[in-house]
Amino acid sequence: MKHLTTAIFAGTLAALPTFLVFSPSDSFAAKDLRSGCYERFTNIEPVSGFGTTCVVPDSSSFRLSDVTDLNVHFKDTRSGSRASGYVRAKACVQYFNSTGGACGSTANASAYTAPGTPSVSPSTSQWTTANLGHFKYIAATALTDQGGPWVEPTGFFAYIP
Amino acid sequence: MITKGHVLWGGVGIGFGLSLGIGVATLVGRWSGGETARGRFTTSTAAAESEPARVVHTRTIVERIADEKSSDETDDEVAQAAPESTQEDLRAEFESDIATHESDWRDPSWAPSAEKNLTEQFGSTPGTHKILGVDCRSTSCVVNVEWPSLAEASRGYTALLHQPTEPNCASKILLRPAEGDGRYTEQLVLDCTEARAN
Repeated sequence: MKHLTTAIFAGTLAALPTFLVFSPSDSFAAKDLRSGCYERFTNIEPVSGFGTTCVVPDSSSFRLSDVTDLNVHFKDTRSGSRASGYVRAKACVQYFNSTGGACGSTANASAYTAPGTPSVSPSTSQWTTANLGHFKYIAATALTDQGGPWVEPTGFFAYIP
Repeated sequence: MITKGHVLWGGVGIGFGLSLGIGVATLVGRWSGGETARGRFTTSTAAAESEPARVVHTRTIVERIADEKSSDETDDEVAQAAPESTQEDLRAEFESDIATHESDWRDPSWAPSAEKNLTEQFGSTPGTHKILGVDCRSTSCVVNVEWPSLAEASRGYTALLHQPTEPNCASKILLRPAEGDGRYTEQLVLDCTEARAN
């Protein structure tokens, strides 16, 4: 009985540090993904707007279907007041094996004064497990009659609790 | 006083403890979706249709992961990592969305104004398309769109997907395989459930 107690005591002492050493460091942690877009707007609406897309990687270690918060950030370098909806974004999917896709509803930025860094939080309703294998992206647009590099998406932040 | 028995049984205990620690740590890693030795896969929005080799490669990776998981992991994990919808699945889901829309009731206080707005908004979206009609019910709308050809539709459908609308709806479209070189019509399905709830 005394020897059994010794074995249990030694085993317990060995098991705890071993578990801490070998357990994955992110097993219990929340995860987040940040990325710059590095793409300036191109003129997709000749008069009233400009747009671009930001690639969002989906991986087994950061599943976009688990994302609860998505923020898309913009940079507006010209001065002036901007109305609500001046910049906006959608979270979309492009089907990898068919021609087509889907987008969630549009997130519109509140009114702001430029220069500034407005942001929006688009719905990720299309980033589902059913769309796991398809390609995810953010479609960002800005209403502007001047275009060019004055307004552009700077990046996005995605969070999994 | 440390005896031989203490040393012997202490060694057995340490060995058991090391094994237990490694085993539990491995299981925790799998359950929590942490990194495993098998690695990861990543998808990209790079032009899928214009790069068939990449599509095949991506599919191969996705299928390989599913195969690996099916060999030694639980059904739940396989379900979470199931490969993407097949073309048939996508078509079935798309037609189901249209059928659900058609079976919905028409809200006279919302549908006419939504149809008018959407006709104007999609009509002003840049492209070669033409809006043939918009049909709204209580929480969804279907936009009938015509392009000069399937090739034009393939180039132009994303402009419609990205078009901000009022009502603010989620959008979905799925083009069919080629049926000749003539004019091509397709339906854009709009889910306005969120907009109507707000």
